[in-house]
Amino acid sequence: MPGRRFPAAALLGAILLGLSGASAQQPTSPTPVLTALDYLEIEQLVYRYGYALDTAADNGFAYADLYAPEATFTGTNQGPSGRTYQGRDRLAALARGGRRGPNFVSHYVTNVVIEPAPGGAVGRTYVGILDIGNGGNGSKSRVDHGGLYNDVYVKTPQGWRFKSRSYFESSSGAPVQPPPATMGVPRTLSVAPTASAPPGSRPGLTAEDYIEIQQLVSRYPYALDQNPDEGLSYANLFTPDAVFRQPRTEGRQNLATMASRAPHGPKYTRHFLANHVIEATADGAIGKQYLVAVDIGEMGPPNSIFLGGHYEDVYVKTPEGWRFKTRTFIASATGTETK
Amino acid sequence: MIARYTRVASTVGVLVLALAWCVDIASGQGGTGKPAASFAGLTAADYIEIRQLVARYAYAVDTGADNGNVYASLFAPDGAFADRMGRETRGHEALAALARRNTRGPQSAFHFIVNHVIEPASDGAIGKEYLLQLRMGEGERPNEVFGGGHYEDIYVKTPDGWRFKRRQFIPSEGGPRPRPRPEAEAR
Repeated sequence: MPGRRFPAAALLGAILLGLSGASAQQPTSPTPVLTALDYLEIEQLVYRYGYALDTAADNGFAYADLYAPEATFTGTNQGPSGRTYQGRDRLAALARGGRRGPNFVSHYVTNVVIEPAPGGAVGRTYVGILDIGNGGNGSKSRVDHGGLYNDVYVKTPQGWRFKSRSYFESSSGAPVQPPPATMGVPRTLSVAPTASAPPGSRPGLTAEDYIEIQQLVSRYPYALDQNPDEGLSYANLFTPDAVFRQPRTEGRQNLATMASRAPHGPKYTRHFLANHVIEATADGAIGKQYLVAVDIGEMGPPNSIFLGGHYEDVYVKTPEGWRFKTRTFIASATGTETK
Repeated sequence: MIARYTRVASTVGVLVLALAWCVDIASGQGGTGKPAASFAGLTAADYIEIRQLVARYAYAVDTGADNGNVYASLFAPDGAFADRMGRETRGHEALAALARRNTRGPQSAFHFIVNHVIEPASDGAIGKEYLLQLRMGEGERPNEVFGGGHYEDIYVKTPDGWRFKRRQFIPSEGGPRPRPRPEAEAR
């Protein structure tokens, strides 16, 4: 088992840690500058995936047509070394192969992270694959399984398409006591400014600000659940003086330590975010999202919902880009307010 | 998990692939080749504002904030919500009353909305999303998936910004479960 897991983990790690490395075999392709519209169009592609697959519309070809010619889907959980599907007919057949229906919903995709890469863009998303009981037949709804997609996107004459998509089933790692973290330089989350909306030219937030804040928040679950670097990626999503609650945790060093004490692993997907509201303030922005933390792939216990609720955030624009200044989790509860 | 897939993979997987291939040849059908996304008529700002409208819906319906008026204000003056039976609730007062009836408390998170697809339409935009309903933090009851389905929306740009002209909820309804499952299914 360890012998088999290592290459898969190494492959995943290579993709996760070096997203831009996914297209490294194309040294001649320049890295494009992505506009706000590029980000939005790629997100639309990613969101259409669920409908195309769950309905098998157009005899599965709605699914196949989300891919560029010669593009591939790889289910790394299928067989000992994964299985790859290539070509329009093969992909359409794949889409027809599961439980389907015109109103069936199963593939819930969220936490969409997109980065420019040579020849196009790369991305990651979480997917929760749900078994939603049919209305009226009494069957129970549940989280069937879930995990990660790793994507490469390419802009075709018809728009953005998948060049490749790989699925990795979630599996939990053990919580670890981290070694002392050395704080690295935060990465910049950049969206190309558009001529029509120069930053600072009007009150409120530009389209680029919204995209960057969305990308900041979408990176949060990866930094926490996969935590490839002892919490550094996690801590660098915050400003140096940021405060997370609860438990109250202040400063990047403490945030990195907190993140590393949480369960994580290279294929672990636990924090699913939704409903991201963003509002401009006098000195930055505030926002909120829903969270459901799902225990998937715990090697034994059935999938279960660990906790849920919502985050309330304050964002601030730093020289490195938008960062969390405060982030507060409020657990879901019915009835009157208890916070 | 991996070991289980490994055992069945070499036999079942090949069989299913072969079967899928045969079905594919037999059907001989192609798709329409529709483009996946078209933004003609919608700016990035429109797109973002519609996303924000839909995100706000969840909070408004779960908390019933401001006596249901926050929920009602997400709809155009003549806007309507249609429930799983197709029954419409139309107009500000009726929508606010609906939100007051459905609220689960000011701190509840029940409506998880993802996969938001937006398309321009002749007089505005249309969209759809997946809805996942989650019961969490409800006393002694264990956290659980309550249900789900999808919304179909019509949006209209009013002087106050983008609003729902109509939103309908359609519960999930799946066909028969194919077998064998894991090898045939795109994840």
